[in-house]
Amino acid sequence: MRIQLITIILLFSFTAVVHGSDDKSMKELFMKYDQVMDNKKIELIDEVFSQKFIKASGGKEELISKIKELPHSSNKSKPLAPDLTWRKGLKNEMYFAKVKEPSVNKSKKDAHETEFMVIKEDGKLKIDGTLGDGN
Amino acid sequence: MILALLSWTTVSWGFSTDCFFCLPWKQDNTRPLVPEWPIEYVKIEKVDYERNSQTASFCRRPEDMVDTIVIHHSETPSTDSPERINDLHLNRGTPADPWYMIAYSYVVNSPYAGALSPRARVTEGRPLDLVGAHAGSNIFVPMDEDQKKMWKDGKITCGKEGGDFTVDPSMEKNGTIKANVTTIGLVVIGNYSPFSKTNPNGYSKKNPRYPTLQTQDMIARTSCQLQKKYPRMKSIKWHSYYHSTSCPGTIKEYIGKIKTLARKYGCEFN
Repeated sequence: MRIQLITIILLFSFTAVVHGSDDKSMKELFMKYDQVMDNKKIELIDEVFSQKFIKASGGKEELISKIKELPHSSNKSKPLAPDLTWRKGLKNEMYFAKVKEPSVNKSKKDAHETEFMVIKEDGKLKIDGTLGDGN
Repeated sequence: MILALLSWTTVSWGFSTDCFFCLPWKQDNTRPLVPEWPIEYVKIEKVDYERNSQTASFCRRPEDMVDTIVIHHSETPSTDSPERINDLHLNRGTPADPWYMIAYSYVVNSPYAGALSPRARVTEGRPLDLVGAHAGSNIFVPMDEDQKKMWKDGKITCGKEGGDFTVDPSMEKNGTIKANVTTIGLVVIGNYSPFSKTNPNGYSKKNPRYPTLQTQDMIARTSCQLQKKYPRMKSIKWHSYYHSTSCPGTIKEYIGKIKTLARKYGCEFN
């Protein structure tokens, strides 16, 4: 009985440690994402996006030019990292990170969520795109 | 001689907007575009999808319950396959309630303007007699008398593979029913919304993406083919019609044109 209890506690602790570490990595990833997309540290692009995503975006130069097109002058772009929730995919080594996107008219009813796909590449979390918000 | 033959084939087959999938010798402008049943305006390919058979619950419905086709874009790269979308959807939900399989009933692969890949094709997704997961799980729509009867007769049931299927009362609310029950999702693989912080797959301002005539035609053909088989399918809508979302991007602006194209094949959509 005691051994079973210890095993369960150890298992819970291990899961908590793993989740905690992933949670920290996820928050860090989206902090970097904010910096890249706000054109503050665009050199972090390889640390933020998966190589597959960069390729599908037409290459690094194309992706950078799209980022530079975004309006950054106000510097008021809402950071995504603080409002982030995420969970592990059910089958593959994949994560889904959700952020709430405020609506233009700021009504709660009108707001919708964006779901980012995150994968592990060379042991590091990288953004692999977004997925349609149907359900 | 060979070059001339090749040019003729390309012009009459590859770039024809009237009948992209038809063989050149089948084209005859004097004949109406409404063939006899069985109608195949577009070849719909089949995929043997993996399913979350053990754990996922799903709902069944009579095919006649469906009256609306809802257009989506996948938000993912245009080169993604239906199998990839299925794989992503198998990862969704919770461990206790995972998604059963791909949420859309039809998948359209079509290249962006000027692109060479992917190969243009239409693929079947979730079977029509299974309720999809695309319009928004908390969106309710009115039912007509036939749909009310099907609901009252207990024809919409939910359960797990190999288990009992029962009526889920939460599907109905004051004479309205969940939009997923009376609609099917038709997804165009690709991202037709502008690039932004929350849409990193989007298009650049310098190079906006619009559905090509071929894409519009494929949607029109598929929709018309469905209406010929299921005459109750009278409506084409788009994802943002049901709730606030950027989906399906610029495709939304072409819904009217798609309906006009469908009319050419003998179908009327509202």
